Amino acid sequence: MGWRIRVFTELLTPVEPFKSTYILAIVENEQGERKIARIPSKYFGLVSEGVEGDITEEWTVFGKVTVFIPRLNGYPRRVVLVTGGSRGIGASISLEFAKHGFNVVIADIMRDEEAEKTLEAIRGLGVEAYYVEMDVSKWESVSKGIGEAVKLAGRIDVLVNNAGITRDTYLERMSEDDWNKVLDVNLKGAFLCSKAVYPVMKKQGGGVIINISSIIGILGNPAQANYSASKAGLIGLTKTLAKELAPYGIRVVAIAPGFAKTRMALAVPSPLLQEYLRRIPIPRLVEPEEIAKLVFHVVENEALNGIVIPIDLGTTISSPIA
Amino acid sequence: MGAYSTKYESRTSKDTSELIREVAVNVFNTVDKGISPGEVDLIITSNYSDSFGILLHSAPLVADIIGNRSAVGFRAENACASGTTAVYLAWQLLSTGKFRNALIVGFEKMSSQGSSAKANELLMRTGSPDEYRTGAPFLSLYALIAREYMRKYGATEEDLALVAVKNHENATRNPLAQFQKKITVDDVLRSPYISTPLKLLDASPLSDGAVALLLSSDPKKYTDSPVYIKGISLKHDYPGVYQREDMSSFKAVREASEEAYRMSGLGPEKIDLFEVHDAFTISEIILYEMLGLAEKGKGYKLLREGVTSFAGHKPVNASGGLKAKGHPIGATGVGMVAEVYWQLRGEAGARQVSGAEAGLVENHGGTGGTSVVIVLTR
Repeated sequence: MGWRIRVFTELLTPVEPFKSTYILAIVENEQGERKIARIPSKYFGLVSEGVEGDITEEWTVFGKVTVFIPRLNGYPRRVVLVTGGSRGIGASISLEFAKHGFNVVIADIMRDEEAEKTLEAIRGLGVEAYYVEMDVSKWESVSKGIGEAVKLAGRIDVLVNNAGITRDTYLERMSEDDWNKVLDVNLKGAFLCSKAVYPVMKKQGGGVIINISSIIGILGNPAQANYSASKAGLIGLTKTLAKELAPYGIRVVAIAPGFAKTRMALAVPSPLLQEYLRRIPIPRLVEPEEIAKLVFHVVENEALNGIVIPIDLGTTISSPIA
Repeated sequence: MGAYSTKYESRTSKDTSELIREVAVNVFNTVDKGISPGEVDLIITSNYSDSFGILLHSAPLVADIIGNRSAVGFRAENACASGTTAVYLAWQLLSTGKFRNALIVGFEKMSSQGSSAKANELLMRTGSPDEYRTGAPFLSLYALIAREYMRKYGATEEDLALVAVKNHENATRNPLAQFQKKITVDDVLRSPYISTPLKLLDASPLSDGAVALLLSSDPKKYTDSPVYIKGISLKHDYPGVYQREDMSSFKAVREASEEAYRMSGLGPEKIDLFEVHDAFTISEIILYEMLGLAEKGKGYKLLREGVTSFAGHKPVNASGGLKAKGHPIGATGVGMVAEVYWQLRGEAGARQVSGAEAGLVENHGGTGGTSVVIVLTR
């Protein structure tokens, strides 16, 4: 028995006690029988009156609800935007999503050779790759960049706040500028990008924001007051936005890598790095591809929200002598 | 023979019992020749939910306030039509001859809920159980009605906006109104969507307020210029929008108005002003059709032609309506009757519809599951 949408409305304001957005529809079958049904918010902007689909039942704490799943001619290809996606962990994340069929937008400060290489590698996987220039520490630039990204890619399903810098030095030598620069890029940047992407995701009926934090944000580290504060700040931002945006179908998760095999980590003086490896249960560096796989898993696993996931070979459980 | 209303507000500093006291005491001073509280033998209170105002069992409270514990009383609830349901019951009971004078007190303090999301949860309970369980807030149900109507008859979001613009303009002449600010079509169109195609400014507000009315079976004893209830009817429709054959109509309103017109011997052409339930802009447009002001599918054209504006041929919601005067649910219907009472006595000040001899009130509950229509004359 076929059902189709007679009339529908996109409910954009979450109401207690349901705390979520969805499409409400009156659906009917050939016999003229009608039901009131929910359509998941991911179909925002994609359904119209007359669209056919199937009816299922969903259990909610308020009882069983009729859910209508429209039969569409394909769902639009999903899009990930990665800040600082040209190199390092960002590039690995971009490629991982490309492997899974996402179109990718790299937002970075400079379109250099490395950016071109990453874009080419993404295209080589058979998906679209776009580049937008963005200084994540400046609202004007972020807002313009996100606007451009939506124009180019059509939508944004996943935002990875990955752009990060270090200005390591001991407190007594750390200048105000050292502090500001790191906080502006690592923390304010994530705030600004989330703010700019929120209306886009809300209109689409949901999305995922992933903040690349660090175990340094959990554990602290000498000579990284600015960096560890910015990464700890990302954890607070994650938890707050996870609560605030959940009703709109937007999940927010922080990932806290241990030392990874990137230029940033390898800039640490090697005696220090050796000392670090000695003390962790699995004595090696995390591969950027391993982080990328976790990011993708978080996007696919819809139960994950508001948490901080260390990916650190056991660093956060290690005692002074491992 | 008497009416008193508080100003409708977004957030009053008074508690519910103070609102009730204010109107229950003052309404006695509005009766031309005076009436003593002891002459009241029937009290009907009207309140949608005790969660708005945190107060139940209001009839004995009113009896105590007016110092007449011999009167009989109870509370009426019919969702947003609670106020006119109280009037309907009073009229029926006075008609039996067993009661002579009724005091009606409608009240609601919606600001007592912590957030509008919580308030909307309470309002959702007026839908059918299926609609509630599916998570269909009021506005979304009206949004479904609006889409059905727009699709069938070609009305636009701009047409809906004209209702809000008109009623806000009317409210600037009403000192009792919650909003005293004109808005433009652009303001409405630019306000955020809550449930497509309805936007924030398509909706009536959450309001605090109270209104009292005095009804008598022998009004000439108390005033030389009474206002008469000439026709009154209460009808029901299916509670759920999806259950109705025509989802762009309010069948209960059509049936109630037909009966009220028949009782009064007056048709829409003889009515000088209308106070109708514009909880959402789409509602007022459909009501034009249900009340016989326009043919089915042509209601929105009245707005384009200015027919229902304050200066128009058939002013609708000269008070500002629910949209701009406010919608303190339990008080709303009582306030609509009070408004027509003042209009027909020539006491409506700057919003007076000149020469008004007959007026109509339409007040409905839920998405039209209950409708009360009252025709009043001088």
